[in-house]
Amino acid sequence: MSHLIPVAAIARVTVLEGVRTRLPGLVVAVWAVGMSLAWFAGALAVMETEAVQAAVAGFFLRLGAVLVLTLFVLNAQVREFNDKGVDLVLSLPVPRAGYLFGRIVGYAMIALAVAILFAGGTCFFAPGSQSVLWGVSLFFELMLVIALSLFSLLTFSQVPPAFALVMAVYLLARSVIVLQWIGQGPIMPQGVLHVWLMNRLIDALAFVLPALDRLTRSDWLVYGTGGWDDLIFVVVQGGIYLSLLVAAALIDLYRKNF
Amino acid sequence: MATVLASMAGRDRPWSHVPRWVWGLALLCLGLQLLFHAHLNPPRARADALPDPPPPGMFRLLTFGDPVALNRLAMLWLQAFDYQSGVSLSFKDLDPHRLTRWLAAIIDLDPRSQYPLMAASRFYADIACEETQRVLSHFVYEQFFLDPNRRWPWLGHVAIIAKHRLHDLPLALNYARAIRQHASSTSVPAWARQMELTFLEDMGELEQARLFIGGLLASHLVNDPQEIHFLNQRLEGIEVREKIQEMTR
Repeated sequence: MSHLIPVAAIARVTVLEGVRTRLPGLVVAVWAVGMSLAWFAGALAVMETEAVQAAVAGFFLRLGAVLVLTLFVLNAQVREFNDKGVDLVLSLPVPRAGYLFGRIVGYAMIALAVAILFAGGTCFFAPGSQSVLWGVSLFFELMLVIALSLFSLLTFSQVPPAFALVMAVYLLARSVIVLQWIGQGPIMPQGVLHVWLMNRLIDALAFVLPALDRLTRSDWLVYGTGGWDDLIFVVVQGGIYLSLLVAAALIDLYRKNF
Repeated sequence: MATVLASMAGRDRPWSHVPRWVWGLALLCLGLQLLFHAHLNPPRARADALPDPPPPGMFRLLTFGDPVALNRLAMLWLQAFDYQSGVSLSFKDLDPHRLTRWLAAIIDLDPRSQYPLMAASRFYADIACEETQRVLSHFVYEQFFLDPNRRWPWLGHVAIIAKHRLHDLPLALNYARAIRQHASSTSVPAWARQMELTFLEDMGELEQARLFIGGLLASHLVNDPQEIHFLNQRLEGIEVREKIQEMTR
């Protein structure tokens, strides 16, 4: 039990860091802009007003949350490295894994707050149960982005390449299935080596990337189609991939010289 | 490269510093991810109807100042529309009128792009559905006049579709005539300008075919001796056929 104390302390410091770096203000601003956009789009729509509002809010809030948290995690970690905060913690009897878990728990609490706020916003345009499902999915999506940000920053140690990697993986994970459909479409040339190789490469990418296209879907909000199957999928896929990313980040952290 | 590797050596601690349980966790999670993906059910099939394109102003706004990129992306999206959410839609299910509105909107983003007209003439106008073939062919015909010297290949293709698929020789002739009259660039090959002749002969309009060859020779548009010889041969052939026709009457 005693080894959980430093983890809790690091998590608390991480949350405090979020609170004191005006992250709440930024999150609320993104929420307000997303909600305003949704209402504005609804005012423009001549039919399906609520569907338009739900789709716009879902899209904007999801993207906004991902961007804000990615930048926050990357900046917080860079500051931690530059201020020698990591060196200080690791000079104490705290294992490297404890440090990483503490940071992740802290970021998870911030992600939870963001997911609750944003899912609450979608309640204005969608059934409550669907908003809850969307919020749970957003939380897992944010956790994946947080773990990916930590992993990429431990690998590259600088914000620009780390941010580029996070965005590339995120966008690819969201759109890899579309690439698969296009690659298998009837108008693609058959029996051509480079097309075949490209399709296998896309298939391989789809295997190792999380199926983000099935997480935090706007159609849950618009059509109310989300159910228990989706919730189970989100939790299982989110859990497996989060563990994988944490393990990868741990490998990098254990190899890093401070 | 050796310098880079030498500078990187010793920057990180050895791999052996990573605890075994971390390796185990990484391998276990990777295995789980691969297993999970392998057992993943394909996405639920949902065949959506092709929606109407957004208004031109809105479409331009969505380009964020880069209409050429959106032109290509929109084309990729449109061509993937027959294959969505794991269900292969029949091309025949696409509304041809809506399809032409999309193609027109995409061309409007980048009129130099040949992709939309290529898709219209090679994919969509080839669909085994007469209404679709006619709508798409007419669309290509209309678009041809906006840039005849670059768009003639697509009109040539739909002229062949009009002849062989629609069995509508007057329509094919109309398209071929448009190519001859409007595609004036020297890059337009002779066979494209002479398609009209083939269709006239197929229709039995020998008098017109003869006049066509005569006009072509007189216009000095044909300079190649072999081509002149070929046209003269066709002219003689037409005259023989005309005589046979007169005799049979």
